[in-house]
Amino acid sequence: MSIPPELRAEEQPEDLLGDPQLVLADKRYEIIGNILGEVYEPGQAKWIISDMLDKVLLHKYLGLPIFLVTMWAMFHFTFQISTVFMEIITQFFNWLGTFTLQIPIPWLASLLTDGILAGVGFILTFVPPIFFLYLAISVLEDTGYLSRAAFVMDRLMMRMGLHGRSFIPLLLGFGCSVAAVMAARTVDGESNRLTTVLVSPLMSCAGRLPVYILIAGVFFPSRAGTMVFFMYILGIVMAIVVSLIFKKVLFREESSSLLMELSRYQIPTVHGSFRHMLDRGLLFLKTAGSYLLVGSIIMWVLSSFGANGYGVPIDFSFASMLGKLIEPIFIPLGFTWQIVTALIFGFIAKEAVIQTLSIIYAVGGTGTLAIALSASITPLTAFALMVFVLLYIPCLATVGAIRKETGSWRWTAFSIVYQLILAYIVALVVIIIGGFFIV
Amino acid sequence: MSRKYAAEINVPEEGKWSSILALVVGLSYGGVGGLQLLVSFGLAGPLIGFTDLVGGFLLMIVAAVFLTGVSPLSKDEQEGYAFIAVGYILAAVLFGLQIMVILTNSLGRLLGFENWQDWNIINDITPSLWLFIILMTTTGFLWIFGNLREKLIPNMKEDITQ
Repeated sequence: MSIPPELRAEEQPEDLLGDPQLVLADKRYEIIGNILGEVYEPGQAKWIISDMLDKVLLHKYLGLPIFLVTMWAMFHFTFQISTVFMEIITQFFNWLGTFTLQIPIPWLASLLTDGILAGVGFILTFVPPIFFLYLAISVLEDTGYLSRAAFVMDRLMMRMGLHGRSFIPLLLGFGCSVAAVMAARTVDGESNRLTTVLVSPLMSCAGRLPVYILIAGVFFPSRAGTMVFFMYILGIVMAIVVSLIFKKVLFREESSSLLMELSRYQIPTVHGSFRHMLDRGLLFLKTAGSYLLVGSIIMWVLSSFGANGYGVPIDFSFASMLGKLIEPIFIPLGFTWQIVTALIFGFIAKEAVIQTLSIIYAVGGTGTLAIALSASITPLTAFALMVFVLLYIPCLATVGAIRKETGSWRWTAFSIVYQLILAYIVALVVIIIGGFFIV
Repeated sequence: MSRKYAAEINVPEEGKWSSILALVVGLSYGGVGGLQLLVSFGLAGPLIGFTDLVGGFLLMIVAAVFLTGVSPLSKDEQEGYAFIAVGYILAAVLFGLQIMVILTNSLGRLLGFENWQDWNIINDITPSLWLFIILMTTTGFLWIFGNLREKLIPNMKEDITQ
């Protein structure tokens, strides 16, 4: 194939005298320049529109409220739109349960119905909100607004003496805490980086979403979307507050300015956004199909067996023994042994909290999880539970990422311990302050 | 000093009418948002669709965006159009979201699920929904009126000179 003359780089004999690599690179860029000159239009108007929109979206006073509207819209979309699809999946698993219950071998019927369907099946009902959340994040990323959100928050964070770039890993934490911890590599300065690693798990990851959706739906049905939104905002606020404390107490390093390239605003493509949603959402399905499945079988064994073997009442099961061992610590928060056991399993993955609760109540024969929960705890305790799940120890994968990124078991242990203490204190504050309003 | 963008992005040089539009829309969203807050706090009588406190705050933020654009537009600074554009985008997002809520709730009702038995579309007709419909209808009307005016005025000028 012959190259059109207008795209050919001009051959100059003196070029051949220099470094061959440099000459090649120069020629390559010259040809690229020629091609671009032929096919590319600068699109001045699009840049002007982007600059104009930035005047508003990065506005000194309006930037933050607009960011809050965007966040609220994202979580309202995630929760409200998905409820009907969640119900469709619930109905499907209920229908499957009618078949598994008819299996003549009692333990197998119980394992499939109360263990796998109540555990993994229940977790799978949260696929729609998780997919919708990833879709909303993808759309925001593709429009170019997400990087602006970091810029908007930077002003607030800089005022508190924190590094603005830290907000980018924190935003990634909405998807997965592991990604957030690993993205902390981009933060300048050792202490800034360490602070970001330590506070990243405070952001609400997709694994916590099922817990919020279930509790908000059961205890605050008319404000469920707003409650979920509030938990995400609380995560950001707690991350900022804890960072500030760490900077004052543990580390002392000057914050540097945030320098980042803001790309032009784009209209997201349907293909691109759905592709991103699928890529991330399938990871959740993979998790549900692998260790959450194993976890549901282990949990069924712990709930169905006790010191006297299979079929003991749930209050005498191994799961009950495990929960009751630690339950006294959580009495001030109003958490029952079922919740305590679920929180222990939540260390494996945050989704396991709901899965464990579902299995315990299914094996115990107390009807649906929603009915059992509303009968055993108050709305205030339910809210404290949401706060506790938001702030307590990160999941196993995140702990691994923290160990890898900090290179220290000491900081990893510190991360686990401080989050446990923080979660307990904040949940207790919720109970105490809430008690004044309710009583 | 403000930059001039009119030629590149096809917006009017003069911002007088646009500033009036931003003012009227901003006051409308602000007024309804304020009323929604009063109803939510129990300071005003119950109104259908006005019960959501957060919804009231959201309308106030949309109002603030429109109203911030009034001043630059009244000085013919074309950057003020960005406030109108973002205001429209936010209003459209809230509208679109409410439409999706209605559609999914209708699906739940259609499939006969228990939680949707008591659902009534009236409760989902919130101010963010009907305000946007009024906003778009008004904008459409102004656009048609503006286009007619542009077409008629040169003819009128020609008639006068003849």
